[in-house]
Amino acid sequence: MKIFQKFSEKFKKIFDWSSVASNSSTTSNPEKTTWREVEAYEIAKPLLKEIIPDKEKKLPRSRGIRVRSMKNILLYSFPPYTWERIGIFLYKDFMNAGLPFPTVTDDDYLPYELIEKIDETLRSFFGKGLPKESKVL
Amino acid sequence: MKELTYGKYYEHRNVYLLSDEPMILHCHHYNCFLQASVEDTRNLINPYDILVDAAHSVVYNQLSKLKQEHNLGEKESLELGLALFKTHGFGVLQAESLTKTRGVFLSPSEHYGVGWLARFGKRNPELPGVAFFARGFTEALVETVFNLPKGSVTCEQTACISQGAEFSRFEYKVHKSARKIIDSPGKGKYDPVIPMRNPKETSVDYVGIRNAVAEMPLEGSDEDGLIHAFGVLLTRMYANYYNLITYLTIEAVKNELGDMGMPVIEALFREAGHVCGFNTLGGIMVSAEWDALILPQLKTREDWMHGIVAVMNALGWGTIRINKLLPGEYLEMQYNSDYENNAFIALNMDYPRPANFLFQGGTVGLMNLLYKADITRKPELNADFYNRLFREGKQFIPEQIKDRRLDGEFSLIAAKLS
Repeated sequence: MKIFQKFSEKFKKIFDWSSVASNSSTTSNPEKTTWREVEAYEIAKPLLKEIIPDKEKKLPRSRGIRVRSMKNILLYSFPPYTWERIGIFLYKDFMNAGLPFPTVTDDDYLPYELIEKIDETLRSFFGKGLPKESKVL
Repeated sequence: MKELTYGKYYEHRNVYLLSDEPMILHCHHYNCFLQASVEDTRNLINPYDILVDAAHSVVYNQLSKLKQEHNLGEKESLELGLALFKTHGFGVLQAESLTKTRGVFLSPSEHYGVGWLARFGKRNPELPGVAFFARGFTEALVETVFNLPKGSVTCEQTACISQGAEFSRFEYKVHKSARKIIDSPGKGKYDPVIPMRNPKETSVDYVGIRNAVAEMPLEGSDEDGLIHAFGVLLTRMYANYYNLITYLTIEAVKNELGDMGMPVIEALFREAGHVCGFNTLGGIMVSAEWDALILPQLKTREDWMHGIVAVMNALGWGTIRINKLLPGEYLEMQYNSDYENNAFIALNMDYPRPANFLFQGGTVGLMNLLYKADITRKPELNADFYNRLFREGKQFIPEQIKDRRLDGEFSLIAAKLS
């Protein structure tokens, strides 16, 4: 929870939340809203690493983690396109888990067994697995 | 024999041919990343046969024709093959024992082994060695030397520099029956000649730069047979080696997965092109040769783009021009007689989407080099810098507007901000 507070405080300093909220309707000004969302994401990115583990701790372990979280972990800890390399390498495992690649969506959950295989594959590709601080294993 | 290893540069199309096989310049970053991408499919298809057979196909086509054209005997054919391996930057290959039934070749320095170590570090010893190209080369060489049927020789790699061995070692066997090896598309299908021109909007001398770079003596060194230039290990690689491994991998993966899995393969091939753009083209832009030859002509940041495109026209990739450049926002490039489509059209490639993967990645790479990496400041182009750069801010993404194979005329690729 502390991490979310920290995130929120940092965000408040940079952004006028009321202004963001007033522009949040995509129907009123889609271009501006898109710009704000992009900016917000840019500012949030450095903190994503901290948020992900905290968020994951709240999930039942048996459900695994969201694809979105895994992509973020890979993006910040491994070279670009690691998600795609993992996807083609573990294609059959994704299929067996009912998550055909690449149509798997960001909101899908990766089961624990698949996360272990991803970790194992990362070790064989890069000599290191999922970062400990992500606490997904 | 060395004189027979030099091909001819055809300026009107910017292609370089050695006995019907187009040869192009690419570096170890691209070679190794592309190979790693193909190897990643190993739980679905057999990528190793694709890598070996593609090399076998192109080398056999070239060597057997050279042997015939110059009426060479066994000894001369062997000397020519070993000289080709070295001149083109694949390393040093030595025949340890050579008979019509089996034999051994050794390589104290082989491009993929050395390049893999440099790019990815020591390779997992449980995997096969990385020198699939050298295996295919050796098979074709032995068949040519002894006038054996194409596909009758198999070669295994029993030691690899990338896995810590002092030498890469190759053992070959001759079989009574020959396996089917795909035919090389040779020079392929060109489009009409589009003359190079010096664009009005820049002071860069395209033709002068193209001529100067095309005449640079880029060949394997006497010490290790590798081409050390622009901070990378270059090769004068067979264009059709890349084309065949792309074509065969797509065909095999499509058979397994249908259309569904293709975007992933496309993304990885495109990323290989991006890696190439960043390292090879970036390496050229921070090199001493660039400073001496091209930098004096550059007055604006956009001239840097024109300078590197002029150089690209000397790499044997085809004729390349900038159609539109909006600084920091948009780039549109036209590719004529591009080496990918020369082969894909000749192979009657059955693929419904644009497939200029190298040029898609390369076009984006140019914009990233100039407007994200700010290559004018000569940053150190290493993996950390690359990874950091592509995690930050907006990214350039490719859009292939035209693919010559699908739309005729030429290929047109844009890079725009995501």
